[in-house]
Amino acid sequence: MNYLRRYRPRRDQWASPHQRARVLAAERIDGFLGEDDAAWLDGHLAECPTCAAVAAEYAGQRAAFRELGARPPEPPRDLWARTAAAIEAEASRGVATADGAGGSSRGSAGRRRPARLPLGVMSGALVVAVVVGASLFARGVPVTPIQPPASATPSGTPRPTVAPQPTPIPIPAGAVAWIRQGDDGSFGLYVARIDEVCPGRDKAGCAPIAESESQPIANLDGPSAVVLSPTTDQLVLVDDPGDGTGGTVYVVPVPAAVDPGATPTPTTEPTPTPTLGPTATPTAPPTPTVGPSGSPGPTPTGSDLPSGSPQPSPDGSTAIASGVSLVGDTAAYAPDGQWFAFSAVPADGSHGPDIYLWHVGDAQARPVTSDHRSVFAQWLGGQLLGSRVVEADAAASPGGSASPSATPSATPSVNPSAPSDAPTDLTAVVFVVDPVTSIETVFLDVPLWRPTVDPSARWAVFWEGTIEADAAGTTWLPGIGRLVLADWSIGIPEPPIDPSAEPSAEPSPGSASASASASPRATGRATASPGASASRDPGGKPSESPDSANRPEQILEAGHIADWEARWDPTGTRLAVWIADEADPSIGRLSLYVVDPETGRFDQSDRLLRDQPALAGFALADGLLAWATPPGQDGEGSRIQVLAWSGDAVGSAETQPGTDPVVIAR
Amino acid sequence: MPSSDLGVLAALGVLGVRERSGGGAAMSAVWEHDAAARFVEDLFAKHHGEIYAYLVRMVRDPELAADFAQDAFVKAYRNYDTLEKPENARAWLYQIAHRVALDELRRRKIVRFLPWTGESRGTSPSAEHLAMDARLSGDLQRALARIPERQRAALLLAELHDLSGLELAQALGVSHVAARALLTRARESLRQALASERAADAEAERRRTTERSR
Repeated sequence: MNYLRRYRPRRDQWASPHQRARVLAAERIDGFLGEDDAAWLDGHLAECPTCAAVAAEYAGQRAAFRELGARPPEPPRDLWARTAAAIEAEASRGVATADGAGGSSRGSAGRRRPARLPLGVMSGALVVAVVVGASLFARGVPVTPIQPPASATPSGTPRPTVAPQPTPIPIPAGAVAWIRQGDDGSFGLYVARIDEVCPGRDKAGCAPIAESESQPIANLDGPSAVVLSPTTDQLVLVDDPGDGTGGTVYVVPVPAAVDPGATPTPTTEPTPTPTLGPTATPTAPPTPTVGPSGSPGPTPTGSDLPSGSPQPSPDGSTAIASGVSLVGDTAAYAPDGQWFAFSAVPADGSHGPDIYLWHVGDAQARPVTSDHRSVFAQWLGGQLLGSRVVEADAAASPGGSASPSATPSATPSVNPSAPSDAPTDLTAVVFVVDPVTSIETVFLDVPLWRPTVDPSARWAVFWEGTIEADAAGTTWLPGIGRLVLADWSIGIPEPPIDPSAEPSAEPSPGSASASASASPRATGRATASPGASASRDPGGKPSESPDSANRPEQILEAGHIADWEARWDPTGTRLAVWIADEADPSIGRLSLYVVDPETGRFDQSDRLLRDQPALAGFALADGLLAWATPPGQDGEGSRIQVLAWSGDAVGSAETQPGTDPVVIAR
Repeated sequence: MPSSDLGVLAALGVLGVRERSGGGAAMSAVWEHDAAARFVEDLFAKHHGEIYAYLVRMVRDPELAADFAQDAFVKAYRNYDTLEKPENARAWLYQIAHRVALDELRRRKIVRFLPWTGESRGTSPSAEHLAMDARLSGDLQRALARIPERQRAALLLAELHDLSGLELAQALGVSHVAARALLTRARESLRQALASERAADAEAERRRTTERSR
């Protein structure tokens, strides 16, 4: 998913006379057409048989409707009895005239939903792909291993066999999953198990990845993102009808095994972030007793407390948010699989992004920010890491001390829908939110925007440069500057401390192991102690620490960047960076860097993948990077591409081109 | 109930002219003294058939449609005060039903994996849907189900429920211009969906023919 970048051309700008003719022909059916337009239309239809055929089809619709209307369905006989009883119940509650048109309505029908945001428009279906653990197979999604070279694919689309067959490289078994629309228009989850690839990047002569038969998913309009739970028993799906009313975020159970024939492959089961250490959320969270809990609704949700709301059905989905448009491609489950966080704006564009959090078992996701300027960056040590745009002087104001601040009021509540009114100097702050207590800790002296932190919490990719409001005026995009890999000065943040307690330099036992691999320096600053200064240079770089000046800061991209997404593999040695295309931010180019986790250095000239065209949304696992090529290249549809590595060996594979663009599930 | 409301009801001919269709003695308190209830009862008598039909065609599930219809009339009762012009009652009722359908469709929509059969990649419709399809068969129904909900609503209201112009806009809860644009888009969406349905039909027919000839 890209940052709010889906466009639909305006309907009143005719791309061609044929388009105009079609619109007018449709309007004529409904009697909207003026004389001039009608005359033009008749003239055009007389010359254009294709448009005339379309117009005839429109006219045919009316006849079909007449036939349909001749068989009206019969209402059930007890409809009035039920309705009258419900009205009586309503009246007995005395609310008959208490609430007006906008009043809340009875029961579930009137349940307030999160604010709506205008969903941009995604025309056409897309595919969503995900790299999944091998354990998904045990749940019964039938998987066909990648075919050895020269064998026909079971999909019935044999590929011309090319003479010299490269010797496949065996790799630790991994899997890639994606969703795309089948020929019949329904969506399905496709899975491909990958345990060998062709050497290098040359896929010529290499058998294509054999996708599984699809696992059909009912009732999808147009999935735009898929994230698989670490426990692989459910996935989060964002579905968007594309009509501007916003997307709905569903949690969908992955069915238990339906195909015992699929052999589980217990060998490699990549746990999402193995280097993060303890992944469970703190079982004994600090009591959110005293004040700095200005965070929106510190509603402690015991992590072991299922919500009282009923789940729809054993195999059915839960709509945890609706009327929203996801922002960015960072939506993710916490490492323990108990929480899911995402950023979204309401579909009506009424305000900017906030971070939403959902706990497994809850009926709804809840916002954890309310400033409309926050986006989710990632999970870090069981806490939610967020990034927020703020006015520069507000962040630097004397009141904004560098100490952990749990007051969102530190963020000026300017109208985010008009961020471009004045050339306000914007900067950013990072903050962490404890999912259990909702306590937010702001790091005012770390003005990084949208950091992506490596698993050891020593390095981060972030933006250094200007931040601009997007076209809709509801969120922010990078302007001119550079995307860098540099020191992450926070380390793994500790859970918020009780402010009444003496600030301690000693890491808590829990965080000690969590940050075992982090440098002592990073750990020492994990709580942004009051001693740290909030000063920084005009460039917005953290400059409070002398050693940060010595820290290598390496440029990944520089100049004007439309958008980006960065992701680390679980080992912290591979970094995938996708840079959006200026003209069409739904596509971009993807690179894979090899990073030395000790020094945080990479070699620009020695990337495993270099600027490959890719749709927004890619998946990165240990030893596997998967992305979808934009359709239209060589006149083909979208393909899933896989780059795999094991030790020094690198190989690649790809699917046959599909007919639809693809979205990779993560 | 303010007296002006009584005036409206009188103008509508609502006062004291209906028979109680399903209430019984226990309900008398409500139905005797609550003008809103009596108004809604009248609305129900006049329009429940078409409202139910609209909802069935929107959601393609008779049970769900009945729930929605009930909900719509309860909401009409609750929001009785918001009806400004009695002559708009029908479009107003459609608007309520439309909102109920859209909200509930989104909320209730069950996205789920279907059993993997090892064969078709198609969806396997539920028993209810199969039954519905048997009754309301045809490409049109299936094509309608494939287009976005608001477009479907616009087409149904315009084609089957004779709402036009401002009434259509009111029912859809959008401006007149937006309703017109929605309807135009809907016709094109439906055209493409129908073409796709027909292509699928032709393909299925071709397969059957091939298998028979084997």
